[in-house]
Amino acid sequence: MKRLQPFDFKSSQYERPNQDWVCGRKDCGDSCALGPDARGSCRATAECRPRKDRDRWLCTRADSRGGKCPDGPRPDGSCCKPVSPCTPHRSVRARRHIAVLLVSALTLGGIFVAFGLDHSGRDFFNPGPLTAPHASGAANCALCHTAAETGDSNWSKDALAQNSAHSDSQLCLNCHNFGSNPAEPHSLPRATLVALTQKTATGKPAPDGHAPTGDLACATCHQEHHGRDADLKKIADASCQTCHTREFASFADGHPGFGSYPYVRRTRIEFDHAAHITTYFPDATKKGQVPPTQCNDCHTTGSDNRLMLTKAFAANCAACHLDTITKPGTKGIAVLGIPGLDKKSLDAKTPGIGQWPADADGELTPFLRHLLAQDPKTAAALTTLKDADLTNLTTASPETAAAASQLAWSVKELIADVLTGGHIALQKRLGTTVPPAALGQLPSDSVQAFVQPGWWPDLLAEVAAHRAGQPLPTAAKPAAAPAPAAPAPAAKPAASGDLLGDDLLGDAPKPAVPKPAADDDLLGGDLLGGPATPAKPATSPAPKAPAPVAPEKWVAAGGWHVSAADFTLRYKPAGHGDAFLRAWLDLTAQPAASATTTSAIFTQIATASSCIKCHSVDAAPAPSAGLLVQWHADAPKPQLHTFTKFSHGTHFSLLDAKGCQTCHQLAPASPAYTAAFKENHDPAKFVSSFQPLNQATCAQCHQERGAGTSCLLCHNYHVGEFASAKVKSLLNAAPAPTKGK
Amino acid sequence: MAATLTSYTRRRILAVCMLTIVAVVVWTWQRRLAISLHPTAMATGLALITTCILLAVFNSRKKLPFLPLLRAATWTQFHIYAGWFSVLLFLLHTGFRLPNGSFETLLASVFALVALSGVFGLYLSRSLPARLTRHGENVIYERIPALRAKLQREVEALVLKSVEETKSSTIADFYAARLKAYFDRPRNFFYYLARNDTPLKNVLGEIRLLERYTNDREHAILAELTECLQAKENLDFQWAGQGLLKYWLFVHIPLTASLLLLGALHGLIALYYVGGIR
Repeated sequence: MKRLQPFDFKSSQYERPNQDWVCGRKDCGDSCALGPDARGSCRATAECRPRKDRDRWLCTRADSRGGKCPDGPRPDGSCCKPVSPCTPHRSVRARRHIAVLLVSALTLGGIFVAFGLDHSGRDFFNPGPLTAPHASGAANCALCHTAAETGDSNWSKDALAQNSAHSDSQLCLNCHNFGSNPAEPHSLPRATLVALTQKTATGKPAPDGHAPTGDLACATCHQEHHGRDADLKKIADASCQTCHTREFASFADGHPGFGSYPYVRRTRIEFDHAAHITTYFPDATKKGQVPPTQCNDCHTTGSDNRLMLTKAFAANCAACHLDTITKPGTKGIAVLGIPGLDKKSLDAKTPGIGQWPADADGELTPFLRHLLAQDPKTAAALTTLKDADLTNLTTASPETAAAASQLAWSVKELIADVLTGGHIALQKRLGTTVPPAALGQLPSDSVQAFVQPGWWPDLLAEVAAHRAGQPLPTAAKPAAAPAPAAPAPAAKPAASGDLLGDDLLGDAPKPAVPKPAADDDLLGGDLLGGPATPAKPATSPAPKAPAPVAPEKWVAAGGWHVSAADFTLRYKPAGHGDAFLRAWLDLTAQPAASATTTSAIFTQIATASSCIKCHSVDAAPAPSAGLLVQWHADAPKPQLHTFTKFSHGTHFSLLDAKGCQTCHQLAPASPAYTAAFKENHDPAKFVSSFQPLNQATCAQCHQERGAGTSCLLCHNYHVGEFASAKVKSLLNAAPAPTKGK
Repeated sequence: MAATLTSYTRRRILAVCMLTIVAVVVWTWQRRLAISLHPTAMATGLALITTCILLAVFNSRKKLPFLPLLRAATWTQFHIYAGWFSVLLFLLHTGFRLPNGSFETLLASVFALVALSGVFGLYLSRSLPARLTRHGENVIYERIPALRAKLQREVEALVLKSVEETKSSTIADFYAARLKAYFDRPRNFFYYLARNDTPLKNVLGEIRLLERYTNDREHAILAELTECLQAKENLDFQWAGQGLLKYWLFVHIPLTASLLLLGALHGLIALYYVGGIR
């Protein structure tokens, strides 16, 4: 092949590709020896620059350019071969340099333009669209970034300042709520987390990850600006294992066992599934009743489709258990009453206690004792009389007698106050925090039984005189004697004549209608027929009049009634969910200053009613030292976030003929289930009616390529009791002040 | 077997092994950070911008040949493998996701263009020199225009000589009609890139057809003309090949400058909103 390029010294020109300018005639192969200067100007004037040697000028043209010319330099020393100037052009390297400058300038220009355009500029630099719930705040970076609050003028300071992830998290918490420990792992208090860690410790320390340092920022897991449909809650399972270092291959292979889950506590309502299904329901069928045949006869899914709820008492239990509550034939619970007192001894040893039924021989009811204990003097008297036999005070010391007298008058004063003050007087005695239900809608006519003949007919007059320090009225009949037919006029104390004067005809309680002493019936003929009239001798055997129903039978559907036999005012529950009993059980379950009297009421109700037979009594959560009656079966608590979550509703379509027992298999009937409710206030100590869940059942579907095995599929990260969103709206809220003003 | 490996192969194996080890270490480090809920974006971003700056320094190093900073070949090797490493860092930094913000999309696109142009340049630098060497006379790129002009002058002298000696304008007419434009400037750039010599074969085929109408003297001139055509074809091939080896940098280097500017701004914005390096 023809060779074009010489490399010998004389014919090969020296190339300078690193220079910025190239001779304009180089492409023609006719470049000059000097070449352009650094600014790109042609320096060529002639083919050479003659050199002077003594008195002669010599040609200096290079051999590569033809060597010395025959004519030689001119006499004045100039070259005889002038060269016309060329237009130098840039070298490849220089053009590349210009391209670099040009692209850099374009980049910088674009940046400044983008920054200059305020709104659209921020859109341009926005790292990505926000998720749909946050999209409304996209125009205001300061909603989520503390750095943006200070403005762009401090960008250099902010850029070098301390990490703002935690202060940014506080902005998240303006709307989102994760309890009082949002920056702690699992949003749990340190002590709780430590306790849980010790409980489930694997003996392997957590790596240097987010050990409980309390500085977990929201952005650690929740990465925004990844599009409208990004999943902010998405987190790799491996991240959980930063702390949860127990390694396992998959849910089906090595996942920690379920333990007793979901039976982590006894049921709130005592219900022995095994006993009912195997014994009680077949018995009911034999009796012609229609017991449940399917789980969903008693259970239904909640509104969130997650928990299985228990239907109400009326639907599930009333058919068999309502009679247990109303207890036909029983008297109910003694609330108020006249205790037995050795009146004779007291009258001898003290100024006297006025009228007192000689037949009264009962003890102070727990309710009465509690009401009396609210008065310090009476409380002291009760303490003094702690071991005294009030029905026999013949040998009582003066102190005991005085205390008994104090007690007697306190009882009378209490009843008198209730008679004259009604519910308000009771509420005043119990304290304003007592709910109205605790008064049981006590009717006036029931309390007026205390002033009926044979009880305390002159109660109001006696109490008025006692309080005024005056002698007791003498018009009173002997307590044991039958009362006269007409209402006994009460003595009118000088200081409060209105009370028993005009008021008796007005709003004040009226004396009870007298009735035969032998008949306790409040609804006898006297009450309905007016004052009793002597029966005329019958000329012929009169037909036997039907006897009025006894008071305790009268209130078969529940309510207040007077038991004349033991001088008590009693209450009978009106059915399931009786407000009076429930209120008092709740009140007395809580620790109180008068713990002795309240616990006696709790015990009395628990013994006499059926509430506690089914409703378990747990120790109240710390710091309370009291008890908590579980009135309801487990129900969804939207604000309660637990470590484990499960949706029953989404699993129903997977069930076969075994139905719920696919997972919830009955345990053999055992008395241990019921025993766990007796004298036990720790709900964690229990025996379940069901066998523990079989993890393999879940693993049948929850495979990597099946229903999934992500940790967050069944577990919550943020746990605790809190509302997920903060509601900050104020009534009559004033417009927010403009920032900077 | 090791004794049979060339130094080139040994160096490549060593470099690939080192790159693999570093990549595995960095990957493991990033995964460990991510699993332990540390903010990995800041760490990988810092590593990425540092790597990009080191890659860009290679161009500056070429401008300072007098400094005793390792051999240029060593820098080139470092540039190549650090470039691959930067791609890994970029993927770790983005979490293997496509960016969805305008600025970040621009930044990622520029990085992708720089990386792709770098890979293209690596391919050119590995494939073209051998082809250029095999193809014919190796000429200095800057001399090619002058050599082409010189060749054109020789061809024109040859054509004039044919007219004078043969008193025939057959070759001159053929030159004026068919060859002058071919010699005027570089031709068939894309044919050469595609290793397609059809244009030369076509011209040589026309010369062979012309030989049927020419005498022996003209045959000799046509033979010389054919040599000149082949020399011109080689010049064009060298022009295309060497030009490609130079001009791919017109994409790679300016975009690198843009990438550094955009990357620095991206880092500043990240620091501004995150507030300092954790």
